[in-house]
Amino acid sequence: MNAPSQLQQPQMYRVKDWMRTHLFNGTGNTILTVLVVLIAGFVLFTVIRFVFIDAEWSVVSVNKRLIFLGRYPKGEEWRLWPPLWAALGLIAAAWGTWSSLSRRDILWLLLAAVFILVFVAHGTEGLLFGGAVVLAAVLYAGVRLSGTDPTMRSRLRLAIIIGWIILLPGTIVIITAFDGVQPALWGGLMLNILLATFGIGFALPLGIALALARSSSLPVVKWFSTAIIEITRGGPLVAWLFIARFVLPAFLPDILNTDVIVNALIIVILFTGAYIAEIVRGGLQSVPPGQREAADALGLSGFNVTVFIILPQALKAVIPALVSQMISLWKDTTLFSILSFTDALGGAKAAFSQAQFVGRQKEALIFIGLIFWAGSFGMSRISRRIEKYLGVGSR
Amino acid sequence: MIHKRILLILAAMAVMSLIAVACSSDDEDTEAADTGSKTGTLQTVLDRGTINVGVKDSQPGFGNLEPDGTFSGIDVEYGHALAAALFNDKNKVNFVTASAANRFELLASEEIDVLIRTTTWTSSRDIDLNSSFTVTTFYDGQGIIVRADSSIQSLADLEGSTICVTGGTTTEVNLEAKLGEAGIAYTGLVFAGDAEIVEAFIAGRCDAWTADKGNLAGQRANFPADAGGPDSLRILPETLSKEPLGPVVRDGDTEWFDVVQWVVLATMAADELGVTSGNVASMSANPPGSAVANLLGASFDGGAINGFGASLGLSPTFMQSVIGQVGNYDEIYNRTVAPIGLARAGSLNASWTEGGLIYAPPIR
Repeated sequence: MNAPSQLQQPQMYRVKDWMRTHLFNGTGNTILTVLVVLIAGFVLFTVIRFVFIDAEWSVVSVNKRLIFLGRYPKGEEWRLWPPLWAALGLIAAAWGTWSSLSRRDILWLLLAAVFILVFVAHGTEGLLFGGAVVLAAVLYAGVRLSGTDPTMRSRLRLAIIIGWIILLPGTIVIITAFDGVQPALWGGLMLNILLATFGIGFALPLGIALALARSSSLPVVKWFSTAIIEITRGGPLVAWLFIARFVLPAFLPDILNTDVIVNALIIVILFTGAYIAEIVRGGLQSVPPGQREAADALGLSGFNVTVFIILPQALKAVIPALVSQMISLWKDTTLFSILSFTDALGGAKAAFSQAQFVGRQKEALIFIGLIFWAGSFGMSRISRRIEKYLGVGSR
Repeated sequence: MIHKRILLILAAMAVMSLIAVACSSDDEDTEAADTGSKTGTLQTVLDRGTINVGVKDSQPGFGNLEPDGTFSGIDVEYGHALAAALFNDKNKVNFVTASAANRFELLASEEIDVLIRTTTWTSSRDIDLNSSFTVTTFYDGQGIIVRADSSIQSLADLEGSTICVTGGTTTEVNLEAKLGEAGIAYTGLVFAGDAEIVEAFIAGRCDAWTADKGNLAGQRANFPADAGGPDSLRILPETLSKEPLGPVVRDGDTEWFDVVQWVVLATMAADELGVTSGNVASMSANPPGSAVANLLGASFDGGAINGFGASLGLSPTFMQSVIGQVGNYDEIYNRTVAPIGLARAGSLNASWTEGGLIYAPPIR
């Protein structure tokens, strides 16, 4: 009869002891603990009351289209699904070959998918999105199972890299070709994603090139690169975007002067490229001079030394800074709303300006904040993965 | 050392030649621009096949982005009317979102052909900003709105109060001027847009907020019920300013100015003459008088057809397209501005025959 209580007692004591030693050891800490619990409880209560009682999420659900697609014309949505399927598939395959999903990752992804299926994509959209998720899961599993063979794995990796390189221009072609949708009507979250992808895709190589040029011993190359970096970093992005829209068209030859979005993208790529160049230059300086000397002694050509010895070490050292620059670009894409584009934030602003949603800007802005947080958090998780894969900090 | 110097000289030469090339291409550009302006906006628009119109995306009744991604409002309807007049198709229009900050830049850089964005006609904008105001489509005036149970009954009661206002607008300047003249001390709280102001007002951060009365009436009609609803608000009787709103074009292109001006005026004339989208077909086939015949480009009693449309460089029957596809001024007004709580009857925007200011010169 006594046995169970004796078994339970140590556990009870353990919790009590832990609480006593960690939370209530002394008057000061007891007061602090009580205060923190009260504040946390109040915050939690306020958030829950707002989300489930006070908030009217109809401003978001009615304006879903405005937030996700902006002014994108009706009847042309089909153009967006193939790129989305391809992108999700490529992400899944890439994740499968280079890394693996932890239980926590799977939980997050499932939560995101369920959230989208319950609140965002219904009916046909839900089916199409669900299909994309299933495709991604199948590709991930397939790649995990077949990728154990090293030659197979390297072939897969090559295919995935080629896939990514094709995907970017392919998306643009699918959206615009055959009487498609011109850039002026791109909008919503789709525009933010396209701009961020293009910005990152082109700014990274440009930044590396600028960094190498700046540390070059040829004076002209060096000055040119330094001038580009210092001039573009010298002004705020908003000012540069205004210049892209209202000043640049007067100077550019007609061939380059095709669309505002092209001018603006050039500016964004230059701007991000300049910051990335300085980050990469920091990485280059972190590589001990002995590395280059050793490579030279082995008789490697200058090109090979840079590409195979210096750059891999330099880039590896600056991954966190590079990713934070990309996250910053992802959020800066909302600045495009000043160029008369209706991006996700612009769509939300238009939504809470509608007569029936006056005073509902909290809901709209919180939803947008959540979307951008999800994007930034995802990038940060992927960056941790890359660091782990490359063994940064574990040597 | 010599090697380095040669490199330097080469670099300098390269830079010089780049500058030279840039300059010469600049000259070509300006020449091209000159010939471009000679062809005129009307020809450019006709060649392009669509008209670019700058509108607002956040003011119900005037220019507003709807949940399906399309624009609505009286300014937007006039964009459609111009497209109907030019191309006999009201959908051949590209709307560009113009903000208070970039609207005149968009117009000057020829990204838009006409700006219809609740823009107040003032002397400085008309003269200094190289823009021309065509016709007033909506006569507005600045007002002040307060809580219905507030002790503020007139401007004098605003002493010591806090007033919310949108920055960068004529509204902000008028408020300062009017209350300054009257010696009323107040605190101005500047916000970027109407939605932000409503939020601040509900939160009690200001005692009053000021905007054009058209805007205030719309905001009042849609004031959230949980904040008291429309009845909890009262618009002060005073009007602080005159705010005539209408389409704006670039200076120095009279041909294009005439087109925009007369398409708008003709919708007002159609209202006076009783031509509506419902009866335009029968009126064109069998006009009741020469005024209607002139407007619609039809023949009255077998007489000659008036050259109104042709002299504008448009189709003689362009107004049949405009009225048939978009409607006359009254129809446009009732479809867009009336639903936000601004009745046309008895306001400045009633027809001149009913004591308002909407007046179209004769078409003959």
